[in-house]
Amino acid sequence: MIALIALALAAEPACTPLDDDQAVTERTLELAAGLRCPVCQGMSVAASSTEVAVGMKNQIEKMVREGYCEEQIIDYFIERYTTWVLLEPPAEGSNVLIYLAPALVLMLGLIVVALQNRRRLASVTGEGGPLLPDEAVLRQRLLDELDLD
Amino acid sequence: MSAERVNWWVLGLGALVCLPLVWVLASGFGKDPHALPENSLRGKAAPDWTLSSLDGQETALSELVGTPVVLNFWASWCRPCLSEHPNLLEAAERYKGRVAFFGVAYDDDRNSALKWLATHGSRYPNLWDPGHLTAVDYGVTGVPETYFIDRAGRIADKVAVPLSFPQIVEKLEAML
Repeated sequence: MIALIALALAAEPACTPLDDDQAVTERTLELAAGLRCPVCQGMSVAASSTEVAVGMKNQIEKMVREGYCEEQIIDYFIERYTTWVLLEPPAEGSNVLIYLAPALVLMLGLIVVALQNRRRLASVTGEGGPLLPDEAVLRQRLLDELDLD
Repeated sequence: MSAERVNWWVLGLGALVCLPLVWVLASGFGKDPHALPENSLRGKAAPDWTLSSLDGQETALSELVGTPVVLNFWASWCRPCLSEHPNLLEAAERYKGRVAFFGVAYDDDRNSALKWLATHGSRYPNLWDPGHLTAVDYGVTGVPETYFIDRAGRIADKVAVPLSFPQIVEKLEAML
């Protein structure tokens, strides 16, 4: 009994209940679009018509009508299906790398380009230390062509 | 590119970025894409329900505190449920008065469920779950799925495959 009361208290609705049918449907589909259908292949609950997905949509609709907030509804499903149920995995643990990857790769690319440019500039202007034999030949040829000597 | 031209800084930086990424992505190959999520309600309070049986009698889980409960989700169209059913009936007979057994018809129509029970037998109440709300409340992903609820009203275990009689006995003995 204590366990059941604790569960009921922990799940008090914290938002304003919706009663407009269209608003409830829109909110339900919006939330269902972010949840993964447990028995489908990479399909959202909103897009699936399986019984599990229908049940999940029914539950979302019930919670929206009762005034549960988005976070409470998402947590409700995570509690039952783990974070597996989220179509967009949370940026935590090793998942962080996936989220950081584009920025890291872009940074790496910029560093490579900057280093290449610096080296190219140095080879043309003669700065940046002694040139390798083939670089010296190329530099001389370039300067001849530009008639800067 | 000659050996002298290799920029070890860039190479090291690239490896630093790419290797962990490759590791994260490669670790995904070890996972079964068809595997269902593990139910994280295990050990937590069983969601309460008040449901009517197929013959119209209302029952609430909250009225059963102090008694272990077996909650089996099944369907008349489900072949594995049919192979599991005699084991549940036998266990319900053995633990009569000590454990409360309930079936919940899932993704079924009432007449088919009643007909199936008339054909294959019934020794405990079978409940009707309108809109599958109770099934979702328990994180059900298909049938058969069986939940073992202990005396304190917590989910002691969940089994998402057809149960054999010895498996049911083992799980119930652990709760009694």
